[in-house]
Amino acid sequence: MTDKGRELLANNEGNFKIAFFSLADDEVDYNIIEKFGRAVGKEKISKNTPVFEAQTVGTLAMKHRLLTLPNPKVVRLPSYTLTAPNLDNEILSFSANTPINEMTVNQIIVGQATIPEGVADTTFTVLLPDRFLTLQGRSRISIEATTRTATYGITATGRNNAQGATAQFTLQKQSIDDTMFTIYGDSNDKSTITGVVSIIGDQSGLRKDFSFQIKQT
Amino acid sequence: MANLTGGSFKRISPQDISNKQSTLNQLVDVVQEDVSGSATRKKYQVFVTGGVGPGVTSSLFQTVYDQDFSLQTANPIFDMTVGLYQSGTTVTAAKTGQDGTGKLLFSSQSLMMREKVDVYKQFAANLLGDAGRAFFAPFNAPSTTDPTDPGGISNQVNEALFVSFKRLFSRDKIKRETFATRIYRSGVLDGSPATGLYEPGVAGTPGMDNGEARVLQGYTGSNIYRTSTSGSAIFSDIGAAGSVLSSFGGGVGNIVNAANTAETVGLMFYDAGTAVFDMKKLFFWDQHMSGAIQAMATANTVNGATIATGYSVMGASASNGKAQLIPDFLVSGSIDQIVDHVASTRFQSGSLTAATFQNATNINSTLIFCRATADEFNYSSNPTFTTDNRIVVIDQGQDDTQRSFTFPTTVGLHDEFGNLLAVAKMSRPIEKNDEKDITFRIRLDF
Repeated sequence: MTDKGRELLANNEGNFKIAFFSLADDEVDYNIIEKFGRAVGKEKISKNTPVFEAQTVGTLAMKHRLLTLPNPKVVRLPSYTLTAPNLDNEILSFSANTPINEMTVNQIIVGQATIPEGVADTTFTVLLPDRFLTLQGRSRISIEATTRTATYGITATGRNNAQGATAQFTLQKQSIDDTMFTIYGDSNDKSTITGVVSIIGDQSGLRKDFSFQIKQT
Repeated sequence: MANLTGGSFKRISPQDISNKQSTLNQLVDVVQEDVSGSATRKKYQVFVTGGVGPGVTSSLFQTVYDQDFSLQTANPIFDMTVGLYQSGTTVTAAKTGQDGTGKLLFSSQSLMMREKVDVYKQFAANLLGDAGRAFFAPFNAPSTTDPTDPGGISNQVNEALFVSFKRLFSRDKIKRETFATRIYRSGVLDGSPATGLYEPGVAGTPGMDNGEARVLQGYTGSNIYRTSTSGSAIFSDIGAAGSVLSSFGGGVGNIVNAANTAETVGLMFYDAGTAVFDMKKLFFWDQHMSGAIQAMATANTVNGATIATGYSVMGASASNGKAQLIPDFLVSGSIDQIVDHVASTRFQSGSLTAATFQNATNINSTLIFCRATADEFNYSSNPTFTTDNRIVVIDQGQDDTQRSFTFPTTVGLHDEFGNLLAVAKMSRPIEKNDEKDITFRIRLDF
């Protein structure tokens, strides 16, 4: 039972109703198939992959979901690229002088003209640590009590040439005092807070994680 | 919360959710040392007397733990106390009267008599539905003399030892015909006042001084706190599963001597997790008892020995020389002293099992069947699933003949709003491909 499941049970309002299931394969390394071939690789994955125990934090329990696509012959899946003025090597920087960052997420595919049917996203879910960041101009859908991970929903604003989704959003640094830097600052540099933001395509289930750094000055 | 519009969620039909009830049994063993050790037996000294001397403090019950109770990791196993039936022989013989409000009156040589009666009444109210009723062993036996007992003891439990197992161990109830306990029925020999072996200045055996006589005959002086080393018997609820009795307090069975099942010494109330022992049948009730006990007394001298304030001596010739376990010790001892005696001397102090039973936990389960058909969940959002957007599990150039497959390790259960309510993990990754449909059976226990 996750924290959310237990919370709903404790609320005693009859909201604990299981309606859907999903599958995930967080522990699996599919590169083994490339290295050993399909026959031996499958054996190795099946027999040599330890499976972790379940986690109770919903945002951590299932990172990589399995997908159902209408076309069984798909050989390529899209990915996301991120662009932002202060994004360098997948690390987004904030400081006192740059409290906001406008970002663009772009769904692309390499080696194929268009994105397969069923994985072109129209909406995205953004997960971010609410202590440090917020999504400017948007209301969060929910916040996880134990981790303070906030969930936001954003809608694709257009399509690129590959029929992939593009979306814009603005990340804004929360007001952070010196005590917060003392508590949450990096162990080797207390003037910097580091964290992770995740963008998940609601239709494709594909995920993009990137780091951020908030400098004290 | 996730948006459920994509192809990574599948609705579970109502037909794929069912409910089931089952029972889990666990074996519980209580070690002798845990019962007898003072560090593992917690007292709650809420009873305080006034009057003569420093007064007596006592608990109304004691709790036995599985380790030193001052440690945070200690778990309470059971509570133990004693009670006396208000109309039983021990109470009526010790009673001096009753005041206008119905309060029982006792002589100053007794201690905590009203509390012992109240303890009995509380258990009777809870287990029999009437505080004024007596327990009978065998259960519901008529109030007649037990023909199996040569001493002619009544089936009515007038002096009860109550052992209430904690929910932590008894769970929903104790399973029938699984309870057993090893009890040392006799205390250690303390010497007989009739031969005068204890008494200074009184000759014991010709040619010996009193000390030699005591040693040779195994006498110890006081047997209140000396651990009994022999005379043990196993008592269990043999036959309780075949003869299912019930009471106001739920299921009940007779606790009998395992070596002689016609000898009933108590009752086990399974749903309450409480054992009620008839102390007169469980122990050699008429055994001589001697030693210093707490009392409302000033410093005094007994047979030349100085007794500290707050104590009196029972079993010496100068002070009730023929004192017995019942009624003398049960009347004159505080509940703490009686429980201390029973726990520290009648269960031994080794590593053997003092008591054992199986508990029962009722489990309500929801079974959820998650069905993944052949064409579902054959792709993954795992970052290792693709290299430069190419699916790595399909060999290059084999696009026409090979199909994608995955290895799910986790099943997530979501509500209508996409909230992840529960997570199930598999023991190992299981291959899912377009030639295979898999049904994952998930059990949620409550």
